[in-house]
Amino acid sequence: MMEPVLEVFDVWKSFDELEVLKGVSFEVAEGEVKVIFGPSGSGKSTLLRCINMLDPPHQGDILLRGESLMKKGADLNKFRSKIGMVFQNFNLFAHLKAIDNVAIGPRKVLGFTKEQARERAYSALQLVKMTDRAHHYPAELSGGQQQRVGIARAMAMEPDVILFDEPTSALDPELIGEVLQVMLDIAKRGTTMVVVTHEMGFARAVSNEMIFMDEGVVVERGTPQHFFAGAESARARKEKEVG
Amino acid sequence: MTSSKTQSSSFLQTLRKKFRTRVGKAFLAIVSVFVMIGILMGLFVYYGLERFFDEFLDGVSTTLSLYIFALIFGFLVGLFFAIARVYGGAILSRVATAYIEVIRGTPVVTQIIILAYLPDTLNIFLSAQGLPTIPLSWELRYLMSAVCLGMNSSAYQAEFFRGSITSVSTGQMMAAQAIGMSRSQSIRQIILPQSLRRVIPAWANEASYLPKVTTAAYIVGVTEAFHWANATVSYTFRTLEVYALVAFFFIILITFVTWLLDTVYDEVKIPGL
Repeated sequence: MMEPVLEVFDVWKSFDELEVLKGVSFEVAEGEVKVIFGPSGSGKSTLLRCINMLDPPHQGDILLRGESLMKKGADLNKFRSKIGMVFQNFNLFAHLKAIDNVAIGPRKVLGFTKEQARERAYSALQLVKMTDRAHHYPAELSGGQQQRVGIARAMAMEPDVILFDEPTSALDPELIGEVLQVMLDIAKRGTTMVVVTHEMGFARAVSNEMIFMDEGVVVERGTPQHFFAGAESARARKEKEVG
Repeated sequence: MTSSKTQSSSFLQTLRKKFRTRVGKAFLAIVSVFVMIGILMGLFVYYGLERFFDEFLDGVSTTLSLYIFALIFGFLVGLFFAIARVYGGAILSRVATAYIEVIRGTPVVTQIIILAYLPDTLNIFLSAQGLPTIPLSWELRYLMSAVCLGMNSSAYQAEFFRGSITSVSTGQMMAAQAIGMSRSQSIRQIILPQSLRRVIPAWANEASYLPKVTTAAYIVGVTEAFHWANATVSYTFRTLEVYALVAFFFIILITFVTWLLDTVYDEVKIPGL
């Protein structure tokens, strides 16, 4: 079997007394799309922030292409440049135009020249169909457009895997479609993705595996067919209907 | 009749439109500063104090240089301590907090007396040890006063900067680090460009307060604007007029600074925000 791109091994995380993650493990293979879902407070977002060490876990291990991020002296900036992240609230850099939001990573982190970075940014914006708004500032864009730029920003780094933290849950209903379409497009291009979402239609269409989390543990996992045919745990069934 | 009226009003409109552009606004502002300086000089003649004008210029230029030095010194040191306080970790942030609290908690008069006379204080110690003493001079006194005013301003500026740095959301820092930027890159590329824009209106407060704080240098004998006022009053006994002239100088300076910072703020504002 091929070596997985990302391995999450027995990750534990607590904030003071509150244990948020209690031993979560899974692995993601090249080109795979994993959907993580579950009720709010179940630790999904924390899990994503643990994976790229924005909130380092207390115990366990994270491996990117076999290399540990938890090892002492690991170059976290380098690892993070290979792990894209798309945020619920977009978090675009407010003082930069759309194209500069996308170009700044290649320019400052990957060491591209200004022209190379612009070129890379432009083709990333093409992927998300935002070239016509390239010279707008984030505050001049709709939520859906901002999130597409956010996806382009992650794509421009050509990462090994992209983490999506509820990318559509801060959007007005009529804007969700355009973002999901972009996510479908990049999934079809073979992008490795870990997606925390309540969008069951998206999960059904592209995910290779769905992971249901509750209270900091993986309750159930399986293919979309498995979940939609009738999940075993009552909790997952209920979540699927609500979601 | 009617046609000439419409013509003149449309002429006024074009004139008004012209002055709404950047260059027009700047032109108007500079003209108003010159008009105010003209009024100030007119007042000198009106009060019959022309013969003190050269010394007045010496005094206000000393005040101006103290102000500009303290503002820039305070900006650099204040920004450093603000960053230290927010991102400095346990030790550095406590050091920064202590610096800020000591300066904000003590009168500027005390600070300037301690610092301006620091060479004299050291000399007592040095001569007691039989060591060579620091040569005292007017320049040294002036320099120590300027540094003291800069340090004083830095504490207040640091707090303005800290406020604007923490108001830039943590999401911005997360997003910067998530694409692989180091902490210092994130601060330089993402946090500071936003917080330095955002701080301008609050910072304008300090920039317009500081000129008046520089008058504390008068206490340690720096020949700034109030030194001139006091000396001139002792010759002429024209207390009200002389102090009114100095006050008028401060109004011109602060009006100009406020206008300048408002303009800079408009120019660098992030579109859409």
